[in-house]
Amino acid sequence: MMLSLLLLAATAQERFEAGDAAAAQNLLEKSPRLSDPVWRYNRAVSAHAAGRLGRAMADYEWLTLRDPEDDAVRINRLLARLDRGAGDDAEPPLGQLARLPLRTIFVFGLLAALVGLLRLRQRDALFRLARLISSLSIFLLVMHHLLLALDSRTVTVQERALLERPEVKARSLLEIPEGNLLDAVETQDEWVKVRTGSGVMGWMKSGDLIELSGEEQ
Amino acid sequence: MRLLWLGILIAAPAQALQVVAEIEPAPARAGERVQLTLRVSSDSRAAVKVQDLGLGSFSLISKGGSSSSTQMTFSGGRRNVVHSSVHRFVLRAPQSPGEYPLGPVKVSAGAQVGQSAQVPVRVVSAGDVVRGAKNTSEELFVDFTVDPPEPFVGQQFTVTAHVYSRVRLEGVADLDFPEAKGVWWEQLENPSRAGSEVVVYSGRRYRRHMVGRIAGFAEREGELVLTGGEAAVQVMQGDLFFGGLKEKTLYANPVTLNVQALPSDARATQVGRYSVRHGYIANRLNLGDVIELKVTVKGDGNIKAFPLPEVRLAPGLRGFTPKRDVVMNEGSTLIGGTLTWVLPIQATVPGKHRLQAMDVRWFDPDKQSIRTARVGPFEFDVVGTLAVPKGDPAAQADSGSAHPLRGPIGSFRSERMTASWLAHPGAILILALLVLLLWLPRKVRSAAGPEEIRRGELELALEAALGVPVRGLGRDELLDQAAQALGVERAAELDEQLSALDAAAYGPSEQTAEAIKARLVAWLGTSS
Repeated sequence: MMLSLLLLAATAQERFEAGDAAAAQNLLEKSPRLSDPVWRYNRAVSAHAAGRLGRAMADYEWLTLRDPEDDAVRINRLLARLDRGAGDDAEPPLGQLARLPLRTIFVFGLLAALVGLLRLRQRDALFRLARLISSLSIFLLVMHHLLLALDSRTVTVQERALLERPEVKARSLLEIPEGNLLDAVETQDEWVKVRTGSGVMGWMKSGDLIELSGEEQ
Repeated sequence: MRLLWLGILIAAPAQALQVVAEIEPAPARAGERVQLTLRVSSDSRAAVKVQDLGLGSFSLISKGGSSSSTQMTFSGGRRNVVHSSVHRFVLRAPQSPGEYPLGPVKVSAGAQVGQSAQVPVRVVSAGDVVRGAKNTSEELFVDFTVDPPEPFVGQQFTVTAHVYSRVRLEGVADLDFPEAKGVWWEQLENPSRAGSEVVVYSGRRYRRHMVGRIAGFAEREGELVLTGGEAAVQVMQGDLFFGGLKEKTLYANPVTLNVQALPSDARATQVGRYSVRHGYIANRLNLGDVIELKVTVKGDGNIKAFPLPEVRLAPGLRGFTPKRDVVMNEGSTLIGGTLTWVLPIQATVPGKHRLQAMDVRWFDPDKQSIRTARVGPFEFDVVGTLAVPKGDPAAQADSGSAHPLRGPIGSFRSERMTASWLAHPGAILILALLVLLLWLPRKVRSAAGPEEIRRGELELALEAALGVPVRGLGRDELLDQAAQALGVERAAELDEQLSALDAAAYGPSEQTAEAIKARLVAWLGTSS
């Protein structure tokens, strides 16, 4: 099983490097591993190269939230934004907390925990400091994971109008570009009520949106 | 020049002080500032002190300073020395017309005392024309003229000061324009060099010098009397050797204006000769773009106060604080300039928008009618593309599909990055466990000594040998359990050893309790 997955990934990479990014993405999606950052990254770059900016933006955002210090993801996300054009992206809940330098926090927390264990018998001031730092780190990391769970954002897979009501003939409020991050507020049959980063609320069809966490709505 | 009232008191022969009080102008106008001059002569060197001004209904505003001189003469082989001093005071005349006495002014110089005569002062009402004030001085007078004499409320009138002279006018030290309540004044640029011309006035030739001008705007209609105009001028008397410069204060008659009322729907701040222009607004905008509605008013009038109508914005349009900029004309006799008014507007909703027309109105004093300039209406489409912030690199990519796709940098990843492992929930779980260890209470160490530890060992050995918990059992119960588990003989042996242990622990014994206990533990180990 693992071997077949590796072969599939290798084939997708070959396709990607041969210039067929769309085929590479399709190959990757045959064996979805949504919680795997490597798979996510590979799908993001292949979707980006294939011009599927909605999918690329969704994956880049997913990766950014899990490791904001990943330079490759940050740069490619910026390039995807440039390719997409100006947008009105919604921020994750408690945006600043969601973009914490997790890597640094984890390393600090781990070091502090080890120091604390070494001073476990003494239970002196150094022990208490180490315990405080490691506890704070774990608190931030856990909070971050909770926020990720609360993140209800979606991404547009193509340029679509934001409608005043959940009707096809409703008045258009805005044109939302492909790859724009929106907050999903409410769902009504095949319609999703969304909010842009600047707070404009409107309706879009669920087929035009993909969730950050995974697949099309 | 007004009449000068002079009161002189020649001191009595017994007094060595001579005091002369003069007041200027006379007659004075009600509430006007007047100057009291005291001239004191004495043969004493002592400083002159003013004991009492005898102000009566006048009030003292300020002291105007003093000067002194000494004159020495020889007559018939005798030397005479006279010390003279001049003291000036600025007074406020009474508020109602009438005859008022001023003085006597009492002064002292060392041991000498003296006083002036009482000076009767006639006070006339503020608006009264003082007969002959203009031309009683045949040589010099100041005159203020107003143009236009019948302005509208809010229309500029210019007050110009002329000095008419038949003597050589060297300069103007001070110029006070006539004033009145209910007038707003604006300074005009005065000529740096007063030009002059020869005019004939009352059959006499004068040289007329324009010495200053100021612009006024009346705030209400009706008769308006401007009073208090005066000029301090310097004239040459005699020649430079025997004469010299002398400063004279010239007083002017009040100037009367008849201010005309405006139409009922015009305001004082809207009077002038104006032209209005406005900018245009593109008929197609992007959502979020800020557009500027610009109105320019240019012309003569009190443009600083010119009001612009409020703009009512339809829903979907947001107005910001308007900018107002006034550039005044320089060097002109008419107050005026250019007022630029800019209202930034932002469309917040796409679609068709209409900016209602607004009327800019003003009263033209030349045409004596209200004029109106209409600005707008403006209609424009706002398209639903989001606003592009300037300088945002992403913005440059917002030109539609014209630009090529940039694509990502780099290729696939084959293995998980270290950082992503660190962010993995499993890693966080490990860290959480470590932190939990740090928070666990410290394991309670037994504070018991070796004796109790060994008792613990004994207890363990008993439990191992008997196969039952022994804590809480009495001696007999324990021996019963031992008899069952080890047999009667070994139970009896256990009983002996326990007795020996008790004896060693609580009484005299050849063996220590530790040794007995160790042996007992070993014995139990072999028994089990």
